[in-house]
Amino acid sequence: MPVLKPMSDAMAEQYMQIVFETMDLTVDAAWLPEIRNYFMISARLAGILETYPLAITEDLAPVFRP
Amino acid sequence: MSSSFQVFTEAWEIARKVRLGEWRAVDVVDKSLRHIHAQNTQLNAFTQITEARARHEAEQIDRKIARGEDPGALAGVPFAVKNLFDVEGEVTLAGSRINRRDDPASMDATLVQRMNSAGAVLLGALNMGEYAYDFTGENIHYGPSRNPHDGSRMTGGSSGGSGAAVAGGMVPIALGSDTNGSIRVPSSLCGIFGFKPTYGRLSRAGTFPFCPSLDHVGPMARSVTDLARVYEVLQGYDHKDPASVQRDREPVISGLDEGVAQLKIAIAGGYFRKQASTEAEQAIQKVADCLGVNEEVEIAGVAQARAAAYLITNAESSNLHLERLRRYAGDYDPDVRDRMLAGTLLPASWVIQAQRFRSYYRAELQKIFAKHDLLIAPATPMTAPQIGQRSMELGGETMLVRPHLGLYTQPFSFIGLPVVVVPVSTVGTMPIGVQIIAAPWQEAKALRVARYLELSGFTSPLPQN
Repeated sequence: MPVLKPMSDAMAEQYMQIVFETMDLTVDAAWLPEIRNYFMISARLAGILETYPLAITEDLAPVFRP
Repeated sequence: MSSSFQVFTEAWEIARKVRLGEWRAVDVVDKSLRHIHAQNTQLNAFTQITEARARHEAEQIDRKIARGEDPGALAGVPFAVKNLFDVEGEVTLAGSRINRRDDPASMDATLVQRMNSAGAVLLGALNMGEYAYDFTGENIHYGPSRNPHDGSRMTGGSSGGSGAAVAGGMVPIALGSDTNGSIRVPSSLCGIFGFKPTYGRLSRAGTFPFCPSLDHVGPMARSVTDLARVYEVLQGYDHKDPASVQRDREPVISGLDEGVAQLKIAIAGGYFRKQASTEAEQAIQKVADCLGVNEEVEIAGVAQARAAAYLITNAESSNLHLERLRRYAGDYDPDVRDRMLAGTLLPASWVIQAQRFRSYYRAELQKIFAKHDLLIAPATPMTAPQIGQRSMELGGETMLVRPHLGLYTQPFSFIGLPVVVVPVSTVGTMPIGVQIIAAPWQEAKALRVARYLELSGFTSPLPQN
């Protein structure tokens, strides 16, 4: 199940720039391709997670306690 | 010294000889320091050698013995720590250039204090991947730590200097940290024993954090007895670590040689078979044969657990580093910086889903541990890659080395399980490790199995050059 719709380079760049500006992060344009690559790894892994539906009652584990 | 100290001597033997007065702690330390100076140019394990402090500590031990006082269970044992542990008077680098701006630590990390209190002698701080966001042992600022079994190959990371220092005989004990596999991966690639206790068991106070809900600390050594002795010294509640759990100290040495006859052990299958190299498959088979294990269990949702661990790590670390990213982005290792900046882009929903899955997955593992005492799984999917290698092929898929070398370790640290890595070595090939995984707080069982394997020939290989 795709979590992120396919993004054009322009869309990805726009998304990154909006977030970075919101977070007050100054990011060199030369870094963007690698950042995008890592973001896409996260998106793929988030997709793997979403294929495993959890019950609505499944609680959050904010800090793990064994 | 009669029958003098030699490097590669195990910690328990050093302590025994020093306590008996057969060896002087200062001689052990001097010889260790000479070996470190001779080897470090090649292995690049140490970033700081605390020579004056080490000699002072060793002299104190020898004085105690001369006065007839108890010098401690680890008397005169040299050790070193990953350079994210605070060492009084030294800057805690955490593998970075950025932290050089920080003030020196005003006191030792809790675990350094506990090692010292037991008579162990600190020799220095060890190389690591920047801010622990690494499975390779490479470091753009300080150079890669190098594998003592083949200097052209990675140690694994992020406790790469710890792996190199122990495998190379510089110290018998090193302390590392493990968020997703950073003790277990270098233990596997360097052919040593590594131990990550249950989350909350050992204090992280005075260590530079990476991902607080996943960060663990633990020892690395060349023998199970050494791991066990150090573990007994390191235990104990610490109010300075919010994750530290109040539990009685767990004695492990007394039961170490009880064998495995009463233990139900299974092989972790499915996910842990899919991307394993031939070496990893063979290592698991050898360990399973030795233990007489042939049952295989498939854990539901392992791929999702690993995915969730990745996302939580990415989100928590980028949050911790936000101010540094704002001020010093250009001073990071680009690989670390770019991953952390990518972490600021994650939608909250992904991270919440990961945390909810964590809760579910813990319950799934509890069902398995209701039927089995322990699981075994490869520690790494392959032996040590070449230094500088960016990608690897596993199960027909090409993937980056840095984020993926820990794909077998992440699913267990994700829910804080205790794990011991046991080395498997074959003459002429690089070593690889197998994980012995126990239920929460069952460290003693994992150490027992590791000890049984050690006595059956699964020992830490000596470097051939």
